[in-house]
Amino acid sequence: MKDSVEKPENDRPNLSLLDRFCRLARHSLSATSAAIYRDCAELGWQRQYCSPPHLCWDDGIDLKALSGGDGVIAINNINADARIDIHGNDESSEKVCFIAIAPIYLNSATLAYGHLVVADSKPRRLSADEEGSLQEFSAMAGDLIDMRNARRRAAAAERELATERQQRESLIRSLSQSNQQLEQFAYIASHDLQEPLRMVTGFLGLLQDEYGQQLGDEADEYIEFATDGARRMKSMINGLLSYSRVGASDEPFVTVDAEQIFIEVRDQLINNHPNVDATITHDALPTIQGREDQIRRLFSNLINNAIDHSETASTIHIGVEEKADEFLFSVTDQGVGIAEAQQERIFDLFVSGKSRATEPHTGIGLTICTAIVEQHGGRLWVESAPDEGAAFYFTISKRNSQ
Amino acid sequence: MSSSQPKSIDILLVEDNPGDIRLVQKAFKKARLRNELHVVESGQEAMDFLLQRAEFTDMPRVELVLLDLKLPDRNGLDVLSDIKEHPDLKRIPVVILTSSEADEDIITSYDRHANAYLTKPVDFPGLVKIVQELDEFWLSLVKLAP
Repeated sequence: MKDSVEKPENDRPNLSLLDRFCRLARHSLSATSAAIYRDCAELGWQRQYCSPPHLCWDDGIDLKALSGGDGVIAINNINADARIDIHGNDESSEKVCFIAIAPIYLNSATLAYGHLVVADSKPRRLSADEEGSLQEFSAMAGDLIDMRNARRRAAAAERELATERQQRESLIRSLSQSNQQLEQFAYIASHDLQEPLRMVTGFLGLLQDEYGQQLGDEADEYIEFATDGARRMKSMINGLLSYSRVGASDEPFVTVDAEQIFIEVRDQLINNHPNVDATITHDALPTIQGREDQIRRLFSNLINNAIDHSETASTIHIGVEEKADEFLFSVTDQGVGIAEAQQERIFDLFVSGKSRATEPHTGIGLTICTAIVEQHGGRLWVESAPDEGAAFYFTISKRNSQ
Repeated sequence: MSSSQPKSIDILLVEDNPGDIRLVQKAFKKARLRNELHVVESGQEAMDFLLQRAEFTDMPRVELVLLDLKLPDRNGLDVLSDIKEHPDLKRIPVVILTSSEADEDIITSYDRHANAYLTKPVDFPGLVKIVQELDEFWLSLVKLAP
């Protein structure tokens, strides 16, 4: 039992710090041997560290029975001490005559951690100086063991951290994988969904074209409902397709003139909807690092959104504020506003707020905007109250590169 | 000078979806085109038809191909390559008519010398319009190789 406890320490090619400490204590006290014992509840005293050479000098001596109290206990000559019952102190090994024992306390504990034991092969008497040194050494042993424990705790924490980091990395890997699969799914689904949908719309059109006059007004209305549903599904599929393309895009990040893009978007909007009454003002917009097509889509979606949610005439302002690491853009309208309860939902897929609906809404525009902003290392959010207009804010990181 | 009478030519539609075949046929009829529209449903049949072999020995020479990219036996893009690499067929204009809007399909098609790339419109009137414009462009405006 004892051997198996000693071995790991004794077999070490390099002495541990506490072994060296024992050697120092032995030299300093001119003794044959010095050792640190751990007081284990179940196994009794176990030798943990000691100065070489290792002598079997403690065989048959019940050290525990000798110790006690806070101070140093010294036995000048074991052979002449009535308290000691020596058995098996075999002739071949160097006999122990003198033993001094000092308890070791750790900073945090009131119970002794163990004991520092100094032994000599000849009888001797501990001088007051030597006793003081032994006490110093036992205090120092306490500090060293405290340091050892702290180092072990730090190593364990580091191992735990490394494990955590590994787990986090594998989580990120599996997340990005499932994200990729989702994008792939959306892409494939929207491609393959086009085919049957075209059959529905195609033949509805053909039905109306060839038999429209013969079926009666109600049948015409049915066909109209069906066609409208198919048309909306088509735009949802297209939305899904655009959404999946945002995530799957490998378009490089380049220097993009936000002002130029804004002007293009605004002019196109005015051209496409000449009857829309909108006043669009803007701050001087910066150049940013981004994907041009996505930035164009972002502006277009947000400005369209602002127009659609205005009651009559729209007054829209595009603002920008430069921060240390990013640009903070805002698209502000004076429209119907959004109740607080709705504000998070509107960014979800296929959720559309109420609007005057100049165009059919699929409720995918803001979802795409969120995806685009996230691709540019930013965030998108809304601040609004009913009838007080809405302000959409988004940030674009200055550190985008690819 | 060019004749004012619109000429009638033989067009080959390579398409396996019966719904699409019917829609294209109807669109041709609706557009009142006098062209002959032949239909084959696989890449193999398309090559046989164009080369007037197998069961198509008595068929006329095709002057315009409408090619879908999704075919049951082989990729439409490979059929396109076969046509454009064949000395007797390479001058026949091939118009890709597909539901794919993917950039890579468009780019690969032109890389393999497709003459035009059209995506199938979602509604019937749109298809009629496309067929009319195909006729207008390829059969009236364009001077094809003799």
